[in-house]
Amino acid sequence: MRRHLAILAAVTAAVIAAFVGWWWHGQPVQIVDAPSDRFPCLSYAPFAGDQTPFDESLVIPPEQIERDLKLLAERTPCVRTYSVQHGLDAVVPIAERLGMRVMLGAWIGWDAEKNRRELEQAVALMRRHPDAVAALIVGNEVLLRQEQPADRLIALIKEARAAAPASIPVTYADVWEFWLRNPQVAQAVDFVTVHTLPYWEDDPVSILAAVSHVLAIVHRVTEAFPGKRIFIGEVGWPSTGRMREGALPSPVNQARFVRELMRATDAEDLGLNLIESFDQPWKRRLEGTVGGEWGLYTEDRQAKFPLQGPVSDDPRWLAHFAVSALLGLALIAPTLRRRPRLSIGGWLGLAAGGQLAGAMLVAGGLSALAASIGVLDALAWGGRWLLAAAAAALSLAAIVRPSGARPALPCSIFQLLTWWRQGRRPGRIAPGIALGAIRAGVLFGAAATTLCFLFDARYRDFPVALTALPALAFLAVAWAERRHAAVTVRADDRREERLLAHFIAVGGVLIALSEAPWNYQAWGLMAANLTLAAAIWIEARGCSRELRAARNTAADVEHCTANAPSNSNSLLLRRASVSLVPANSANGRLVRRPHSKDRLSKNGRA
Amino acid sequence: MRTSDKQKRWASLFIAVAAGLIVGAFVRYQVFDTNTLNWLCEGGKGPLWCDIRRGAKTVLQWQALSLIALASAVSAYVTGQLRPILLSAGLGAAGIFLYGPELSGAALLIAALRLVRPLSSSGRRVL
Repeated sequence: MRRHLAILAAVTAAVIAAFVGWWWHGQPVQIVDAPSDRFPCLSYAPFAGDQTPFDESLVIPPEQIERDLKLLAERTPCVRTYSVQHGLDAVVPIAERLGMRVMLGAWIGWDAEKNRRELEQAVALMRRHPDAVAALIVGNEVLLRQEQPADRLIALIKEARAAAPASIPVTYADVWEFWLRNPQVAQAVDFVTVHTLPYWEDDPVSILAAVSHVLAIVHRVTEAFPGKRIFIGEVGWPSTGRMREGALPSPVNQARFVRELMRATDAEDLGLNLIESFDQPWKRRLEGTVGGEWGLYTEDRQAKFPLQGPVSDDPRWLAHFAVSALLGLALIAPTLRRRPRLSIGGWLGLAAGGQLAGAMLVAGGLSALAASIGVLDALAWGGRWLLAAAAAALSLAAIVRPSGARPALPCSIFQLLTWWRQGRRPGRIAPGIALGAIRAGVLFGAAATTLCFLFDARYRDFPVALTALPALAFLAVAWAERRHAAVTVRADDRREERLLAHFIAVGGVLIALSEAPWNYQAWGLMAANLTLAAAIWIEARGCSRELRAARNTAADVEHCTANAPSNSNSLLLRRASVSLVPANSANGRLVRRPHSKDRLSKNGRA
Repeated sequence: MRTSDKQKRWASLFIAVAAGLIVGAFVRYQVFDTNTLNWLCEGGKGPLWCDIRRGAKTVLQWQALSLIALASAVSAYVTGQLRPILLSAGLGAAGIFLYGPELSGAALLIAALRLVRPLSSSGRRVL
C-alpha cells in the first residue's frame, strides 16, 4: 500500500511539474500594439501545398487567388506580387474588384525572352487597370542573384518606364546593400524599393535591435540617394526555424517585430510592405524550415497573431502537455510493471525522467514536423525521434531494474556487427543488444549531423531535443553501470564509439563557436553532443581502468569474468567471455579461445 | 621517428578527405554555381557543354554521387581494403559539397569507422 502511494505521489508530482512547465511556455506575452488593425501592404504569393513557381506548367486557379485576396482584404488595402506568370495576372482584376491596390511585380531572370514576355504582360495589365496598380516593380533581387548586370537591368527598367502609364511609378526592388553597390540603378527608377531582413543579414540582428536596424538602413539609403523616395519593399520576421546568431524565429518575435515596425514607420511616414501574406512551403526546399515560415498567415490561411493584445509562442500548450504527459507515463510503464524496489526519491526520479523525456519528445516531434520537407528529411527526423524515444524507454528500464537483475549495458558497434555477421538470431533481443543498436544509431546520426553542420549549416535546423534526450539517457546508463562496464566489456571494443564520440565533441564545439555566443540552439547542440560523448568516455574509462587492473594480476580473463554477473542467457556476456583478453594479443578482433573453466566454456560459444 | 601503419592509414584518409572536399568545392562553386558560366549558358542557348553541365548538376541533385559514395563505403567496410575505403571517403567528402551532405557524410563516416579495425590485404570479407 505504501509502495502504491509512493508511486502515485511521485507520478502526480512529476505530471504537475510538467504541466507548470508547459503552462509557462504557453503563457501569452504582452507586447506593444500595432498603430492600426490593418497591415499597410503585404507580399502575396499564392503557392500552397505542393505548388511551386519552379513548375513552369503551373497555373494558379483564379478561384484560389480570389479566396486569398478576400481574406487579405479584411486586413490590408494592398498586396505586392512578384510575377505575372502562373496565373498571377488574375491578381490585378480581382484586387480591383475587392477595392485593393497592387504593387505589380514583373519577374526578371536569366532568360531575355521570358523577361520581355513578363514586361509586356505587366504593362498590358497596367493599361487595363491603371487605378488598381500602385506601382510597377521591374525585377526582384536580380542584382543579388546576379542574373542580369546592372546596365541590362537599367535598360529593362527604362523600357518599362517608357511603356507604362505616366501616372504609375516604376521601381526596382533589391536588398539595401545592392542598391548601395549599384547606385546608377536609382537614377532609372521613380522611387527606391529596399529589402532589409534583419534575420538574413550577414550579421544577423536579434529581435531587440531589429526595428532600429531597419530604420538605420533606411536612413543610410536615404542619405545615399538624396531626393529619391525610399520604400521598404520587403521586411519581416520568421515564426519558426533555426536561430541565426541571436535572431530567434518565433511567433512572439514575429508579432513584436511587425507591430514595432508599423509604429516606427508610421512615425517616420515611411512606405512599408511586409513579407509575406501566407507561409510558402516551396521556399523550405531552398532555405530550410525558416524559408517557409515568413507568412503572417499559415499555409492553411489562419492568422498567426493579432495586431493588438498579448501573443503566445505556444497557444496549443495544453494539447502539447497532454501528449507529453502521456508519453512520459508510457515510457515508465514497462518499468513500473516490473515492480522494482525504490525509495520515494527513486520513484520521483523515475517519474520526473519520464516526464522530461516526454516533453523532449514533444518538442523534438514539433521540430521534426516543421523540418520534414522531403522524404529524406522525414526519414531522418522520424528516425531521430524513434531512436530518442527508444533510448529513453530502454535506458529507464535498464537503470531501474529489479534487485538482483543483471545490468544491461549497450553492446558495442563492433560486437553488434560481429553478431550480425555470424548470423546469430536469438529468440529474444537482449536489452544490451537493443540498447547498443540504438546507441549506435544515435551516435552515427549525431556524427552525420555534426558533419552536415560543419560544412552546410545555413539552412539546417538544430536537432537539440532529439540529440539531448538520448544523450542524457545514455549518460545515465553509463554512470549507473560504470562499475559493471568493467567486467562485461573491454575498452578496445569501443573503438568505433570513441572515434565518433571524439568527433561529435570537437565538432559540437566548432559548431557553437561558428554560430556566435548568442545562438543558444547551437550551444544546446554542443551540450547534447558533449553529453553523448561523455557517456562513451565514462564507459570506456571504466573499462580501461579495470582492464589495467586485470593485467596487473596476470589473471585477466578469469579476474574479469569471475566478477561478471552470472547470466547464461546474455549474449552480451557470452561475447564478453571470449573477448576479455589483453588488448595487444587480439588487436581488436574477437578472439575465439577455449576456456578452461566450465562456466566459461558453457557460455563461451563464439 | 618512424611512422606506423596506423598513422599512415589515418594520414591517407585525411588526404583523401581533403582532396574530396577541395574537388567538391571547386566543382560546385567554379562549375555549377558560378554566374560567369550561368551567363554563358543563359536561357538554354549556350554551347553543348552547357547541356552537359545542366544534366550533371541535375544528376548530382538527385543524390547520385552520395548514393555511389554510400554504396562504395558499405562495400569497402565489408571488404576492409584500404584503397576502396579511401576512395569512398574521398567521394563522400566531395558529395558533401555536391548537393548531398547527409548521405555523403554518412559514407565518409562509414569509411572512417572502418579504419579503427585491422584491414584486409586480400580483399576477403573480414566483417
